Amino acid sequence: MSAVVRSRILKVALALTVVMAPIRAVQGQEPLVSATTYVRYPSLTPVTAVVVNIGQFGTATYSAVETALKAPNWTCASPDFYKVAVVDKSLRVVRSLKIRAVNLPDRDKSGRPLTRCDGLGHPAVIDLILGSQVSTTDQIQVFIYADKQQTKQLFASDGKLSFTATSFPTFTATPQAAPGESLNNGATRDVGQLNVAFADQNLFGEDLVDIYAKSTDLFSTDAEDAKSAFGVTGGFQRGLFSRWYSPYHLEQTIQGNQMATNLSTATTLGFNTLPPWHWTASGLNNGVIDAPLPFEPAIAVQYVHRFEQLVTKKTPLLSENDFTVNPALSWSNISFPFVCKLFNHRKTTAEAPGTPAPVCLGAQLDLGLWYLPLDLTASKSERVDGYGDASILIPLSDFGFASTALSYVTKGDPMKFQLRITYADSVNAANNYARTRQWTFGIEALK
Amino acid sequence: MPQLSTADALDEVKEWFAQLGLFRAACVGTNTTGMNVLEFADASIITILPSTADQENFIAAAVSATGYNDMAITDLTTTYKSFEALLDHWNPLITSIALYLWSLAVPSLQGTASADFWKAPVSTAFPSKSTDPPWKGVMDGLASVFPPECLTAGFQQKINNAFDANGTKISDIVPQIATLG
Repeated sequence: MSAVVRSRILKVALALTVVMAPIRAVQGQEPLVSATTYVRYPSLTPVTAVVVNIGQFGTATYSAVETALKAPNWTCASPDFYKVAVVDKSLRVVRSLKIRAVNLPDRDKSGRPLTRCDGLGHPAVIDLILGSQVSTTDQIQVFIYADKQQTKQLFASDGKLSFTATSFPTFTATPQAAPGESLNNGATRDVGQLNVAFADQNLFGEDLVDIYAKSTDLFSTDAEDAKSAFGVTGGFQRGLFSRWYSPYHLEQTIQGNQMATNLSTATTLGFNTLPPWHWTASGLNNGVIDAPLPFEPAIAVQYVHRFEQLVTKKTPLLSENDFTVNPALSWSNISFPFVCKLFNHRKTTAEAPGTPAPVCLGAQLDLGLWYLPLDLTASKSERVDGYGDASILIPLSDFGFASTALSYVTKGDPMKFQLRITYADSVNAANNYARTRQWTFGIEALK
Repeated sequence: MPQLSTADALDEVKEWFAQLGLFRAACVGTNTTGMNVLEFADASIITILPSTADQENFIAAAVSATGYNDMAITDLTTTYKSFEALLDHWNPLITSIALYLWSLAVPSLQGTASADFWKAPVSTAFPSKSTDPPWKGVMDGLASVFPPECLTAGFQQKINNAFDANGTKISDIVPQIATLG
């Protein structure tokens, strides 16, 4: 068979595939194309991508790849064989979106990242990573071609794809009138204000570390407007360990008012993670205590330097330098199963697999510490303020009378409500670390 | 038409269960202790991983173990309800089972397009009753790689009944097997 004949047969086969391929996946299966935004770990870089599902046997995209593999030089890893376009209701292409890269999220049998498609479900999905901005109102159509010139179309989606969110830079500027606005000199007057917000979650498109910038500002027609402010933040974030979620970030913020009569800079370092927890199974998963999930530790370190301060009746003079270290941990999902026997807990339905055991008495714990080495106490020692709260949680289903006597509160379903009793010894960083101690009681709805 | 040998196709099915095990190992807490494979496959993701920290940690561990590096928080909280559905996104069990069945189908369906095999009646692909070879051999092969709780006698009977029913196609029987039970 000559090359010309083979080429013609292939063209006919490709044409038939396009004509016969159903646009939608079969009933009960995933959509053939979908929109996603995800964060790569450990680089923490955000990605906006169109996912093409090519691994579901019997679908149009599976067949398209099956056919494409017969075409010379076809590779699923090259953006050249795809087109992603914003279309109107009649599927007319309004603009084409740039495909920055193709991600094949799978590995071969030796554990190396895949670089090609085998037509047998590996990879089952491919991500077309977008390099063009896309809004949530855009209707998107996805095409697969057998050739780089994009003349032999193998698949076209239905053009109804849209994003609910994207990771591209955002900028908003909102003008507003503010009658009777307070000024720094104590007077009031009508002013015009402009709210400006900017955020770029991945400044340089880096794949190793996420470098970001954001700004929130309010500019006023009167320089003395007490609400005028700017705050510009730049920083980077990344995971410390690749196999364990352990993100840290370091960022610098410059903030002040419109005329920079109030001007300061803040350097912040943050880190949080979860400790390994399987080893606690015997000690913390028994009839007395059940704590299947670990506590969540975090630490934030911040240094603030104030270049200029505008002292008014409402804003007292603060120290030129502030340094704070704030370790904290939060531990929820603690319960005490033995209490169920005491309360004669009512079971409504048989438990489905994976459903946690009923909670008859729960607890929650938050602990933290403010360490302020530059802030000396009356005895000239460095200031340390601990704080925390402990909560006891009692589901209303523990009480037989709850569904009748408290029906207005529980809407007839006491399983979804709980009584929370909390004792908090707290320190308010925004109010010069003032300490308060209090008990609170309340009924809260469960999600 | 890319096809696999029967042994390779069964390996793919086995690999699916191995990856489900990797997902289970990536669950940071101890909620999965005591669950069998079927219970974990059907378990509610947000019950096992209720907080954002748990979900982030699962993603870091699961991506590291499997290479599915586009896993998003919304996959765990919104898009997929169970771990089976989550895994099926990157490694559809339907495809592995379909490739296995295809490898054992009558010679006339070998080498055809996957779409032709998918819409073929089971009576054409496996001309026998469910109790006779070759279908009995198909089920025995699956039983050799499925955990027992994922292919119980009752579930096998249900599949066999569907196989014996008139008009059943490959596209009907494969998704039914992939539901596990």
